[in-house]
Amino acid sequence: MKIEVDLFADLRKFADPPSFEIDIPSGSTIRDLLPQIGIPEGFSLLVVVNEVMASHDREIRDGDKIGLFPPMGGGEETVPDRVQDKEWRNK
Amino acid sequence: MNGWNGKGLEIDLSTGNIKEIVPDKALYMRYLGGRGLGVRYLFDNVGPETDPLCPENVLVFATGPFTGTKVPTSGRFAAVSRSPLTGTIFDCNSGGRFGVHLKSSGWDFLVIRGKAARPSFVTIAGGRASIEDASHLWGLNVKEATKKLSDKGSVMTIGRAGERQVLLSAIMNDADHSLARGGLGAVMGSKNLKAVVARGHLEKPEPADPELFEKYYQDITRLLIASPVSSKGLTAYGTSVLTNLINYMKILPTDNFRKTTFLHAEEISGERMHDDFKVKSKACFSCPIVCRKEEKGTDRALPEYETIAMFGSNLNNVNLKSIVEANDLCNDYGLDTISVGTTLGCHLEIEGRNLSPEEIIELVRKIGENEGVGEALGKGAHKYAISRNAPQAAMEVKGLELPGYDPRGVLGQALGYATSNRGGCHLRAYLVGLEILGKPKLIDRLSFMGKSGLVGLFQNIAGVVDSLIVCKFAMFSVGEEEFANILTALTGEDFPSQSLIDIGERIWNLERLYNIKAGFGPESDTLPERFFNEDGSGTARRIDKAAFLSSLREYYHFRGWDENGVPQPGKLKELGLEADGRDGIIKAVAQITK
Repeated sequence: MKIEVDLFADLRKFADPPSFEIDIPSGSTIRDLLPQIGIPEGFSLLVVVNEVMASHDREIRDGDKIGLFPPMGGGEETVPDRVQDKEWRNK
Repeated sequence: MNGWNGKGLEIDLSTGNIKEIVPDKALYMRYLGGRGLGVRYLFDNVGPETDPLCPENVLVFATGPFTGTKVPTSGRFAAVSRSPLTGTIFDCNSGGRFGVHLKSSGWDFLVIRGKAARPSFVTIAGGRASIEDASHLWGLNVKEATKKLSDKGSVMTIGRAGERQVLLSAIMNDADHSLARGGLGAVMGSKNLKAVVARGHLEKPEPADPELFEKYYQDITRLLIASPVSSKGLTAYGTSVLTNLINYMKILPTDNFRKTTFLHAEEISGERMHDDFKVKSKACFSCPIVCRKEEKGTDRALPEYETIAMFGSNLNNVNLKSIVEANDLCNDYGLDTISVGTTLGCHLEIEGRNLSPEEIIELVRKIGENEGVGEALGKGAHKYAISRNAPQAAMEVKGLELPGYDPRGVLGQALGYATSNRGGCHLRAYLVGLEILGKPKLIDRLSFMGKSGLVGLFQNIAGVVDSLIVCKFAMFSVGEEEFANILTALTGEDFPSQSLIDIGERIWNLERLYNIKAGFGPESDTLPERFFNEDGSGTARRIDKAAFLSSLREYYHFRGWDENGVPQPGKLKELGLEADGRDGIIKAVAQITK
């Protein structure tokens, strides 16, 4: 079955152009789709199917429009440096 | 008291008197700081009949117990006043550095009252506060005023818009952070107060239990940085990354909320901004999320999602450069980008034509200068639309312009807009996390089912978050339990997690009482008629009014209010509001319920 996929933000590094059609076997889920696009397991992302946020277990149907977005959380590994304001650090 | 200085300053600009206020410890325990403390002060001291732009109105700037500590996202402070735009009680909060400097200067809060005879600014440093002549600063916009004062400390100032008492004017701190909404910049301007500059000694507040504090700090940090090697939307792109997502869900305000999807969203998206501009990141004090983005070289702030939505899609504007310029100009004049953008959307609809990018920039300038058509536009969408005999074109609730999420596709957010104590605001319930981002858990955005309780609960949590104070983005990952734990470790006082929700509910009810006394009845808990009568795009269908009203009734019930949305004595007793005594709350309720 044929579906439409759109990648956003840094997920665009996995496909050029970032919007494309792809053929996948019926019965596939989002979890099955991700490796086909080259997105590694455990890469955190938001999935929107036909305007609705969906889980990785969502079964894909023919004609679905799927958007993959980065998670809207955030945080840097270098927190200890970040939290120490320059003025604070020089104190 | 660990976590607080235990005192604030009252500065009377009319008399030049500055005195120290030492509130009862109970006030801190029951309202914490920030929004809570400010709302309590306003309720007790500024009657709802007070003209917001007269000397009797008061501006409270308040930090919270977390301000200045290393609790993630806590470098914030709040401003509370009666809004000249909405007439409601009103609070904003802002990041940057100012709040940290204020707190570490030895005072938790400032109360500004009266009106100075000539333009003035206040300095706070070395344990002293003074009122100084600002004649040389009056007439300057934010960047220049900030530059001129920055050797004295962290600067909070108004631009020319605030001086001219434009109702959409903001108060800016640290150049490009804003207490944006509700026209609080005009309140400052009406007092002839150009700026407040604070330089703290920057000693970290000592936690009552340092070991436990460190443990809970690590817990919160872990929750915020759930998966550090994965892609990070906000950290990498800032809030502008929402543009494509919100458009994809077909809830992006477009053409003054007449459509909910924008064909050219990609051209104004965060992704495009990263391609077209040299972007660098900037963090607020003590924040690991680092969502702010600036342009390398010019150091000008790049627009947040809300600004992109209101100046981009909502004005059918595909020119990203003009959105960046409009954002910069608003910051410099000290204007609220959401309210200005939404008011220009109203103008576009009434004029029946699109505005060119050059025209948009020129209109922002005119609003900032309060000249020509800018004078009428600067009064906000509600008053502007009435003056043009087209009230249906004003996209606002209680006089506050709506932000970047079309309510037809997020029904909890819709109820949140309608019931917000400060009007059309996305941050008072902030169901964006639950309904759009799935944080902390995804719920069905197209149903009212269960939303009344959730809206109430999240309004209460937001009330406490705004009083501690931490950033709303922390709510995506961190709950009241973690905040209660670290507050207990910081202060040495026992704060069970339910007590925080109770504090939020106390604040919410107090604000509601103030607004009722100011004349806001249940008829103001609604949305512009467009959302009940016209479909948006895709799943964003017109809202079923009967379902909306039923959800609103359920919300009142959940809150312990009567069918007119009036808090009942039983609820006020439960929240301990009547025990607060001297404020006359019970008398106020008795009058209302008569």
